[in-house]
Amino acid sequence: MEQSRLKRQESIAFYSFISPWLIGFIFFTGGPIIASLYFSLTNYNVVSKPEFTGFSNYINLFNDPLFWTSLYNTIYYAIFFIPLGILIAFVSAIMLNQEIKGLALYRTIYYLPSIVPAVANAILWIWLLNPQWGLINTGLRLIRIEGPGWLSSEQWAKPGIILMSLWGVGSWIIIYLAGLQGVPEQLYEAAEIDGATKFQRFIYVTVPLMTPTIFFTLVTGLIGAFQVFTQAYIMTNGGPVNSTLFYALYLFRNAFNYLKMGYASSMAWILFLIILSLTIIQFKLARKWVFYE
Amino acid sequence: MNKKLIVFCSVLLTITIVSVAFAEVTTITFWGWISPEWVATYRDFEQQYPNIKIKESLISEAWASTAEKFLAAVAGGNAPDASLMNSHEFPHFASLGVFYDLTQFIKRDKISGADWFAPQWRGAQFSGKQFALPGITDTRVTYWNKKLFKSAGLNPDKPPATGKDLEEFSSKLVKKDAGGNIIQYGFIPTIEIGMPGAGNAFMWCWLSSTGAKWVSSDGKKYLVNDPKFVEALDWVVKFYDKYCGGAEKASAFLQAGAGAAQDPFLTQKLAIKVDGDGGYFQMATIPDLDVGVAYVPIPDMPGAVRHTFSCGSMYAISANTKHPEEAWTFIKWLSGPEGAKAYAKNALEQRKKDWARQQLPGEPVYIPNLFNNRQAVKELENIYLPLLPTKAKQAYKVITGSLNHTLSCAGLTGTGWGLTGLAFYNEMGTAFQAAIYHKMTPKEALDNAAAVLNKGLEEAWKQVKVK
Repeated sequence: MEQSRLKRQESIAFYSFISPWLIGFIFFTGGPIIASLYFSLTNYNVVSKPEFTGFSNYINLFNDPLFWTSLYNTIYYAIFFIPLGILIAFVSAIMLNQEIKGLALYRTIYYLPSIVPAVANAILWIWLLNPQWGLINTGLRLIRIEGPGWLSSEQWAKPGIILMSLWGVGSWIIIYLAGLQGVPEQLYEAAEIDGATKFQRFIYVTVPLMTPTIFFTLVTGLIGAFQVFTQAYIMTNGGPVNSTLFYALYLFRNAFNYLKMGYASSMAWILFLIILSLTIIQFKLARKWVFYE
Repeated sequence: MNKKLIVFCSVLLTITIVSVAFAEVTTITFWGWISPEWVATYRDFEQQYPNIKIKESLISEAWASTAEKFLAAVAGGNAPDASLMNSHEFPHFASLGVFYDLTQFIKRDKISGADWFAPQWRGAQFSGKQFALPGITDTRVTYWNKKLFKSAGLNPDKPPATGKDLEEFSSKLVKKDAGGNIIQYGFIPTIEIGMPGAGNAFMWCWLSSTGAKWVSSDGKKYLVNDPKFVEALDWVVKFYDKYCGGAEKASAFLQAGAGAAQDPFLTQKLAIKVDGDGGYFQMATIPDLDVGVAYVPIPDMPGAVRHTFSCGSMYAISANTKHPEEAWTFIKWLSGPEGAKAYAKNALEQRKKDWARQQLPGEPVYIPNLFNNRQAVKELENIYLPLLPTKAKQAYKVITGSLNHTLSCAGLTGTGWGLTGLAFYNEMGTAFQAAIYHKMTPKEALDNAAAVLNKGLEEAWKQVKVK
């Protein structure tokens, strides 16, 4: 009797404490998500009443060449950005985990790009990627390579945007640093006593213990990569010749430029299903390679 | 006791007076531009109409579309009382019934369409009803660098008038380095990369100068794959290959302009450019840039006509406003002579401040903006033309002269951009790119654009609410 009352009091306290989040979620996130599922089955231009059309938006999507183009561009981006991002973040984190002078300064410098506002970042990279006097092509010229036209080239615009995204992996570096520092010292000591070299210690101690961190960045990175938008919206607006028309950009255009909110909602749901299934696959595969202590 | 009563009564009286005074002031929410000269103009309005207060906010950060915030607000039943709209997306919004029908106000206040710049006035209508007052418009002209012309052995006072001129002049103006890379361009048909559409001032003029129409006379079909358009686009593709080293090289060259200050025309590495009239003011500030202003060249095709195009802004009132009368007073003032004069005064003042801050040489000038209201134009000309240097006066004459050949981007039929103007702008931009990058032939690119656009157009007409 006494215990159940206590329990009830506790749950009341619990729910009232999380209520700001809960209410916010229901009204501003959960509600719109469910609404968008309904809108995806309608013809809806935002202003007029939605008109129910069944699955026609989804059927039209599969016949829309730009849907496939945008999906291809996005997958291309994800395939290159995620592994490269993980590699760069991991390597940087290892370097920033050494005991050297001015470590705090280096860590700050590496993290700095992550806090540059997206628009400022885009403008900066328009300059860096400038084919004639941009820093990147100037650097390439020093090693006798004539750099591409980057944002004006159909082949190089996507790599240009990937390059730019890689510059902002600072938040991943922080996560990897935390992961590295969480590796128990005694494991290294034990390995050392057993005669493991530095390299062996890295491969057999550090890497296995870092797999949960790698897995985390893989999952969140994939979700983020499939929503890539800002760079293309500001820098190329999908060009040249739709080579940077990413999925989210095409979705945005349908929603706000062409007033096809129903169609855009169906795109959002397809995107959700893609991300969901890839994440499930990742979790399934994770059992084979992610090592939890 | 008596004293208390007096105090009580006087407090009551004060409250009454204050509340009456406040009740008389109506606040209007307005979404438009919020740069300092515009904000000062709204304050000027409040001074003249003390019982109306303007609460302004920015309509959109992205200039090509004003839709994002606005439509969400309309859907949420929270639209601003009045707002500024882009001409090219205006018909689509108007067709959905989101704007207040101004026809009765226009009749009552005896406003005549004849007092306004005709293409934009028509663009403010849908289905015979007036839904907006046109604000400021613009036009496209050719700029050419006289110094570069002279050093290439060309007559510095003869601008290109036709496609043949563009080819001939470019062949003389193009300079290459030892490696064969072009370091000085004659003419590049599109202006900047990044925004398909935004840099296509020349393309719109060039294609519509063929005499073909973008949209069928009933507004129900895009005719963008007309053989004349295909021929004109084909000329552009060949021009890129022959005089620009291909589209990719040319865009790479222009890429610096996408950042901001390094426009190759301003740095004198590009001799001819077709762009909006707004660019002249900046060119006039560069001391050693000797620039001429002329009409846009026309293609060497039978039936070709001189065409430029005008876009700009519209002022509309939301259909569900609670203060239509006050909002009308405001947009009438803002688009008319009084608003124009206030804006011009504030723009010049702001420019003087910028001049002082940046320590630029000489005195800043104000070249009258192209207001759609004829009386506004007349009054601005009376005040500001005498103050202009001769060269700027000549430029202004060409700019206003080109308005006689202009088409509005806001039309539903013929040479307008049709009901889905923003889709037209995006899809055509992509089609131009596909052609000049040799991804498709001009015919394929325009056929493809026609198919995509017509699908969207058909849907948009089905959803029209204003009959």
